[in-house]
Amino acid sequence: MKIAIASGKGGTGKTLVATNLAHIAAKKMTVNLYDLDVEEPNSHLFINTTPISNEDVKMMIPVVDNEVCNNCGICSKVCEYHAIISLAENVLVFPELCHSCYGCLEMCPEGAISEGFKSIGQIIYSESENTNLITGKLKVSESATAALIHKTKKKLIAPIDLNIYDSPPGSSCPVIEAVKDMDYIILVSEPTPFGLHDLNLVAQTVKQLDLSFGVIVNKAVEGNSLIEDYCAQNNIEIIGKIDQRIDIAQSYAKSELISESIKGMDKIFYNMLDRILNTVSEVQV
Amino acid sequence: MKEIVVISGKGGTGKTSITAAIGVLAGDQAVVADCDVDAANLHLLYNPDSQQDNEFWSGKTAVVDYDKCIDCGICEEKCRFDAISQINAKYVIDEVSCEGCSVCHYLCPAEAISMIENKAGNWFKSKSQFGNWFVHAKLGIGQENSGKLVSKVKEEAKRIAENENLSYVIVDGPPGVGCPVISSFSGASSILIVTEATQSGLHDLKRLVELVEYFKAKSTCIINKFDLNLQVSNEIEEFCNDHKIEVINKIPYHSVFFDALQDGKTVVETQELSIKNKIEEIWNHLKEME
Repeated sequence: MKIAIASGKGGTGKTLVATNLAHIAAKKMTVNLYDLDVEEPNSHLFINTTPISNEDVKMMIPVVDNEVCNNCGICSKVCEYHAIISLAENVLVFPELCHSCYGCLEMCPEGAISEGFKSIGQIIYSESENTNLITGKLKVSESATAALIHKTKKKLIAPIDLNIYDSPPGSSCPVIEAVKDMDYIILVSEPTPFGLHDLNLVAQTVKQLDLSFGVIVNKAVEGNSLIEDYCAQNNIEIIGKIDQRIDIAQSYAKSELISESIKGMDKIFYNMLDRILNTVSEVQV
Repeated sequence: MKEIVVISGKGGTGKTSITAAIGVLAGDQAVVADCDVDAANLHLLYNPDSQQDNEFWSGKTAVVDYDKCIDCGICEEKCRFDAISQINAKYVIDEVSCEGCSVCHYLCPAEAISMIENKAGNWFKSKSQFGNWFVHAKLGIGQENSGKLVSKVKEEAKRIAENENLSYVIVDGPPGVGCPVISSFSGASSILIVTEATQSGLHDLKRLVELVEYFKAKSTCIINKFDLNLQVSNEIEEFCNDHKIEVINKIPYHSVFFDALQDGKTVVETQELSIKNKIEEIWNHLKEME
């Protein structure tokens, strides 16, 4: 079973929900937690695991043999990303712009281009009892966010009962890469006009992908039903609520799992997990 | 003209609330640009009257002409993005996975694949209710945020500032350390980092500073919610000190940020003087900086 946690707006509590759900679930089943927020991966701060392996992730970039190249310029013409520029005397490659589509390599009539590699980041694998943590970590200054998400997701550790994917913020390309093949998506929102606005954007994105999803309201305040009203109007299931409380914020600041550190929170996450598992099994039937 | 770009690495540190408030204090001396095009929020506080709505076209998607397709499968074999697969004996392109690289278009022996331009979003030139020029954008649902729309918003904001001889461009940047962020701060005269006193905030700050240093950009820092965890707040100050980043202010955890948002207001429009004074100190500091 695959469940992604997304949010639209940053800082609404995606990682808080992902790590606590994984922690609670791991008491009854085996769990893979994938940290796909590869630009700023934080799940490892909350889950205590032992490091196992660390894999460098590479992407192809073109290498031009200037002895063979006759400066025909076809490579620059076919590159949609302006990553390879043919000048009168030589060819320049801009690795940070390259999408590794192999277009230049395929189209070069002289066979002057071969495969080189650039590092875009790492996939870090660590584990604790019943939980595997797989973290994608983008190399700073690299921009292949979606490509690294794609590769991190492909790391499969079988057999596993539940896969949880902590996704990046926003509602564009990286989020779509993270959530596109999920059984269910949890959108974590907060009851502010910013939270609501961005929830609506990401909800539209997942609807367009024809995926089923529900909402967790974080930082909930009594008397404020902004998110509940939106969900009621749009027929979206609310999976649970986490109150706006200073002790939760302080515990989070220390990178604690609030389902351990704060009395009564474990029950809230157990209930959310049960609800999610029931909903997903209904969807699958 | 001075260009101040506000970024945070981690989301939810208070970046937009603080940028919005600084923009209000700057008033008609500044053009404000919302470069968080993937989750733009500033317009919710600025009530802009949209004077200009412009379409933004960027990137391509492959389309198959089945009258020409000979079912050879070369496109599927050559696509590096797993965007082409055979469904019901037809080669079908998954628009979500297609990166618009055109490799299938060039390699198709039957010339059955063409590339169409994507409408990536819209950008707007408006006046805010506070008298600033305000440039913002909306990325289309499911579009790629390559940083091109971010660059466009910034470019337009700078053009307005130059034409009207205004002193400041204030930019609300995107989260993370990827392409959109790099686009948002290229060419900036100063970068203002808004972090928070949480372990996650510190972790993300370290990656953001690595990025800023890689591009040799100059930055200062604000620690928001500093009293959530004084130990982490001190660690952030030490880290900034080691990296020659001046911590220009520390703001306590305060409900006014949440309450002001509920009323659709910036924190400087409320009666909470302690926070209002903090924002004024920050703005005065930014004005005096080289």
